[in-house]
Amino acid sequence: MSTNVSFSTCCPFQLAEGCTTTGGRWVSIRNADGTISVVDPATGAAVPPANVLAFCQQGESLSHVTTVGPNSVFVIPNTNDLESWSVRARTAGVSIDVSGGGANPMDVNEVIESEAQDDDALSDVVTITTDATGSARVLWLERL
Amino acid sequence: MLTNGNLNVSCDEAITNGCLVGGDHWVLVERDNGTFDLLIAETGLPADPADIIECPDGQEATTVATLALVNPWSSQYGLVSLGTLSYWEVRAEALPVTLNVNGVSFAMDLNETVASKAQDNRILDDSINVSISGAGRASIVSRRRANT
Repeated sequence: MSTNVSFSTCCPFQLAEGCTTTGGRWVSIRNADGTISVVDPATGAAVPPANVLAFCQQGESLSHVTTVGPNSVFVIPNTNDLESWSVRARTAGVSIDVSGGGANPMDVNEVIESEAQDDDALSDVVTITTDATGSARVLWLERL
Repeated sequence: MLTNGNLNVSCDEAITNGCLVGGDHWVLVERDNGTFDLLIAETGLPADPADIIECPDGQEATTVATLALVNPWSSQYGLVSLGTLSYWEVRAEALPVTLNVNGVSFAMDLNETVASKAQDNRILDDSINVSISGAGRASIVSRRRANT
């Protein structure tokens, strides 16, 4: 006579994993009885299918915009990781200095911009200077 | 009488996994008896090998809208992150157009385009509001990561 051990004695095992809409993660588990559960690996709580994302976001970023008026000096903040920046001269009398490279006069409606690749951040120090008639629009994106 | 007890409780094992058309995942399971099954990780049902695809980072969907005067006084168009916004762009086609970016408002210039794009695998936590009045008109393009 032989005694067979059934699969019901087997431990559950993980099939796949991903991210949720609430910023957490999900794992799908094959249970000992053969059923599949999708759970939060941190709590074990069931994850509703609607919360399962096909992608994992790596963070959030926030856009900022400002208008630089006449006779002003504006430095784009770079205290957090700077992803990108864009400067447009609305009028004449606008110059831009990037990381100490010197003041470059901008043409009207000229746009100068920069964007980091992938997960990189920009170490740029961008200074916009306007004269008595100058005006510029500045947009920058920082990581949260 | 001899009783044979199989104490070697070897279980099914997930060998490798990947992605399927439609957003589900496949997993290759080695059974206790040495056979292999290709299953859908989310349901446990058999997966069709023809549905196997290279895993994308995600999908994105683009929305294009033109904001023109809807009522006699003014119209607004709002964008909020919803945890999926990856790109937005506003162009002032006819003045006046007022753009509010995360609480900062300004009057746009004619044909001015203001845009923001998150890096790969990131999203924008932005709240954008476009307002027009009179002859104002704006075109708005946004892109969101899709939950599939």
